[in-house]
Amino acid sequence: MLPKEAIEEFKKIYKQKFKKDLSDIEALRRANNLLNLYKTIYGPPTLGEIWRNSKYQKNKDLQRIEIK
Amino acid sequence: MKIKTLQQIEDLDWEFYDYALDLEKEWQRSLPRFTDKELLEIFPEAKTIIPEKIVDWIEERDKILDTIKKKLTLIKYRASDEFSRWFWREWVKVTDGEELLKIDGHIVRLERLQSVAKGRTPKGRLTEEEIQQALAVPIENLINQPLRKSGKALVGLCPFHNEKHPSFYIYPETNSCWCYGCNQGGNVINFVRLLHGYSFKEAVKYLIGK
Repeated sequence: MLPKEAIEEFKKIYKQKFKKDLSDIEALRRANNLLNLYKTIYGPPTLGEIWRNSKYQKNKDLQRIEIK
Repeated sequence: MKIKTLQQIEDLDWEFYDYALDLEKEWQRSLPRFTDKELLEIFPEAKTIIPEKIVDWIEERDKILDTIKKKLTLIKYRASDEFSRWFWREWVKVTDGEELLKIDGHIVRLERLQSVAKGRTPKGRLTEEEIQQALAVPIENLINQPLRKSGKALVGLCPFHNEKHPSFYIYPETNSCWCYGCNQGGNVINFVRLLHGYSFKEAVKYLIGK
């Protein structure tokens, strides 16, 4: 169950991306469904996965940060 | 394991299946419930194992905490956009965070057992009897709204979120509840915690009227 702040943030991002306001319930449902899907299929994300999806993933010079 | 074909599923004797499920529930309910003190009398060797287990769990917790910190730092400074930052952070919270909560639960439980083994109940700590007393309070008595019967359950509007169509189910047999709209619920202590935002201790005290 996501906290209220996370839902508010989700609503804000959704509005920016899709120019559409979501109700609290709809935002809660969509955000929870999205995260539950990933949680069920993949479990916790690894540091490597987070790194590969970061903005510096293609910049080899910056890949000095120690990751597991 | 053989995968059942559609025909085999259709051939299942559902009446017998329901009967077997009820029988299993009845058997689980009939199992003796022991207090911490009784459990330690049955298994006194636990007294020496508990401190070792606490250390193991604390080490495990520290490891997970460290990983979470690394992940959150990476997300905070390296996420490619605002959505990525939100998504990866919340994903870490719902997975690793949940694991951390489970471990904290183990530690609290073991520490309580350790106190019982030493023959003391720390000041302000709940006793097993108080918890059992709280768990016996029927959830339906805490709801101020009409409930209708649906099979063995009672159904009403969810007290955790606004809704027009009832999706909140109370199961009096197990004294538990679940909202299929917002996916929240649990036993009566969890219910009070969610409803009033209480801690576990506050919820137990509320239920036993202290």
